[in-house]
Amino acid sequence: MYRKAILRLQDWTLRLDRWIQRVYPQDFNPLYYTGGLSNLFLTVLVISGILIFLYYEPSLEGAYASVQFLTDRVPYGVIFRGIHRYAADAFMVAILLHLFRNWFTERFRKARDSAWISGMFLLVMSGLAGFTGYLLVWDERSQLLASLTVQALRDVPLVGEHLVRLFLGGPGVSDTTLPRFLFLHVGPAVTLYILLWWHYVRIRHPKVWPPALWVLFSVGLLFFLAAVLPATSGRPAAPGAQPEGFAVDWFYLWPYVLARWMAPGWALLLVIALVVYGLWIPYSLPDDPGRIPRSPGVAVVVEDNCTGCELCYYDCPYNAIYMVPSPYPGKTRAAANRKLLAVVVDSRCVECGICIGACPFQALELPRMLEREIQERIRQATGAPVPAG
Amino acid sequence: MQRLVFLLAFVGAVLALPEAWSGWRAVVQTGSPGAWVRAVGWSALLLAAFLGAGLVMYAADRRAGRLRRRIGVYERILARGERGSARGIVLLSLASLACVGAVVYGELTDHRLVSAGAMGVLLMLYSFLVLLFRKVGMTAREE
Repeated sequence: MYRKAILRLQDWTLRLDRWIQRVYPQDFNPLYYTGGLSNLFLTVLVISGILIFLYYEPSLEGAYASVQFLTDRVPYGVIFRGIHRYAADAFMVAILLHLFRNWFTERFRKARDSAWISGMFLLVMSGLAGFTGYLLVWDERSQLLASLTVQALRDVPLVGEHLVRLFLGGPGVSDTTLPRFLFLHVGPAVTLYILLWWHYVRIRHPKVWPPALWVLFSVGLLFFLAAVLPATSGRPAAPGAQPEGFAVDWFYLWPYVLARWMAPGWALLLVIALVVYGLWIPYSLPDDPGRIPRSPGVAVVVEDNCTGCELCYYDCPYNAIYMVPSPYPGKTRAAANRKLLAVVVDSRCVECGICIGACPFQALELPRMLEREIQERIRQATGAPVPAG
Repeated sequence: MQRLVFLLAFVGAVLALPEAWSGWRAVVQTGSPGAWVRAVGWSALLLAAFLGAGLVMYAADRRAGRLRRRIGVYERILARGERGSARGIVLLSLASLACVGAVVYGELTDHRLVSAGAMGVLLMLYSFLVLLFRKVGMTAREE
């Protein structure tokens, strides 16, 4: 059932690709750059965040007033605030598209689990940075969010009170609360860059930036939204205020909507359960024996044929192939005078077969999906002879 | 979409052929104005459907580089589509110029939301220009 659903979603993802490519050339397909788009929006967030930070005052008395000053009095302040606000939403949209695309196309198997796991932590940290951004405005919504969070943290057994202290910077809301919120906003944002390093470290050719077309469109859209729907604050937070509702940002504040129907502690538990499930995904899906093997085996170098040309080394996206000085000559004529020999690092190989396609000398094979078997499958399926090589 | 157009054109041609044939028979037998209208109308539909289905196949072959010889009528129609992209570039450039005017106007009159909104639209127009430049072959894929 689950396997069928994933395969169906994979099919729809690929159909969506084809549909988009009727309008956009393949190298402009935005779904190929969801990671790069996330980076773009993160960069916009950092730049606009620094500009906002120049005016922000993290104190109970000054936070709301400083945000209002930025919005009403600083030239283009409302635009920078709006860009920061909408870039945060766009960032989450890009991340979720990236996540779902990689989930449905199963790009988390084998050594790719490293990118998946780091991606889940990136998602959590992005959510935390986004949510704490709403606290910094210190209007009625911030107050209600802070109060719901405190309730949720208090429900955590044993360490609840300690977590509340960590969150508020003391036993209750005080002068140290807003600086703590600022730290909880900027800290996870900085962590994102460390996690990005982990996310990319095993990928040789990551697409870290979208094409100019999508940079222009995305930045233009942010400017347009910031001008047409300016970001605003609610009424200022007040000690005795009892706000009952708030405008929901569905990308960051959805767990708080659940608090309508369940205790905040249960909403927190649900979020944790979703994250744990996300971390478990790479190890949850078994191979389907009826299909082409999803575990064709770690690539093996046919040493007799390897010429040391390095094509596989440059093409492997996962740094799983190294070139070492050849200890002995190859047996084919092309390999007889080789200087280098390809070596596969088993723990890094994701069994994708890209190196098989890169090698013109048939010096690499996937042990459970041999090239001649694939040719035989094609021959049987099409009835046509398949040229060797 | 192309398959759907081809299918519609093919079905249209299949339906129009007997109607046009019987229409011309009625013209020969009665010669009435109604018969003439019917015969000419169905014949025109038959021709359009026939040419439309051919155009879809021709365009597909042309894209795949399978053309053995060029057909002037189809080439003119397809070239018109490419000229459409060129017209789009001109229109987008004019719209971009208008946005630059709006940015300057907003800045001079302290309507900064207008300036920022126009700046946003300007950047989005540029993105469509980049797309059209690629479509008409003015830029190539980055390797």
